[in-house]
Amino acid sequence: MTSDRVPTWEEIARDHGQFLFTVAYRLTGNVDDARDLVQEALLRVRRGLATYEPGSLEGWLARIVTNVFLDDVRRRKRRPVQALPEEPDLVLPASDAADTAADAAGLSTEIQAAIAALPEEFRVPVVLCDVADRSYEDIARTLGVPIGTVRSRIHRGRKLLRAELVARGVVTAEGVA
Amino acid sequence: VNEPTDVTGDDAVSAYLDGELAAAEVAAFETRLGVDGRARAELAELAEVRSLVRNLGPVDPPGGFVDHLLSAGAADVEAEVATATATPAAVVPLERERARRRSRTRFAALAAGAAAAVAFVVAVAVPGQHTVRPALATEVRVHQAGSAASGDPVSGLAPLATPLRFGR
Repeated sequence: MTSDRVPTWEEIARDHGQFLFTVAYRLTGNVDDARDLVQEALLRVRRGLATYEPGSLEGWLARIVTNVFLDDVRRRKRRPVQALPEEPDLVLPASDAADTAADAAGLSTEIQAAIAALPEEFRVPVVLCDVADRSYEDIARTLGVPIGTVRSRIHRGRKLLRAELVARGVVTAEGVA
Repeated sequence: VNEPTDVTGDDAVSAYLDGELAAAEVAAFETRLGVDGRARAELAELAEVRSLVRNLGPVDPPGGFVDHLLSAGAADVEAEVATATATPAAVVPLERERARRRSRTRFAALAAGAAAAVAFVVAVAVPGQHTVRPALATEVRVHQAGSAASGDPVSGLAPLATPLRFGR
């Protein structure tokens, strides 16, 4: 979205809450953390609105939510926590491969779980590219790395993601299961 | 300014899929595809992965989440987060428990903040005699009595909580 007018905080929460939540959920892999991420991101949005220059609003929002996520990742690395193995309400019980392939919701759950299994350094650029639809240049600016690094991480991230999807039976070596 | 892409490299495949190659690079990469079966196979595999992720679609926030943010207002949300992040936690056993506790803390903080605000308004708006506890005069008397008992006439003049010592 590109506009010359600076939106209000309330407009952003109302009109872009779903976008923020989608990016946050794809990054974190669970509803609780996504909710916290969006809440913190909206605080930064409110503080940053005074200096926001009209342009790609969703690019700006994606940058903020990513920075909140990376700050949280760094904080957790300083104080490690024991992660739960799975999010029960997001993972379907084991079923036949044919049933899984036929179940769109189950497929989404498996793909999301595969994204969540990626190391952050690959997950973040893949999510920014394929979920937030950001350009390599924008992703490089967000992450503070060269474009070549973004290109490499997206490529490696997709290869890792494919391996994870194959392991989960979502795709076969030849294509979608 | 975009860096030129080495179209013979592996990551040119993703850059091609994402439309991140310049026109000349696209032509060179497509020429490569014509002769490089491994690149063609990888292109098909990664196109499939890319499509699966892009077709996941948006995720709806939990019911009432955005409404809560709007009704609470940015200031309240800020207070919630400030309180939650200031809450010490010596041991964090499980990730989900941490998230749930933080969420509960935020809402508890919001309620406590509202109660404190009401108490403040009542205290300011309702005229009456206010008592400071502990009473300052009482503290001074106790301090002076202690000083007199210790036979030190100087420290009795000293401000409270300011230890005085003469010599080394």
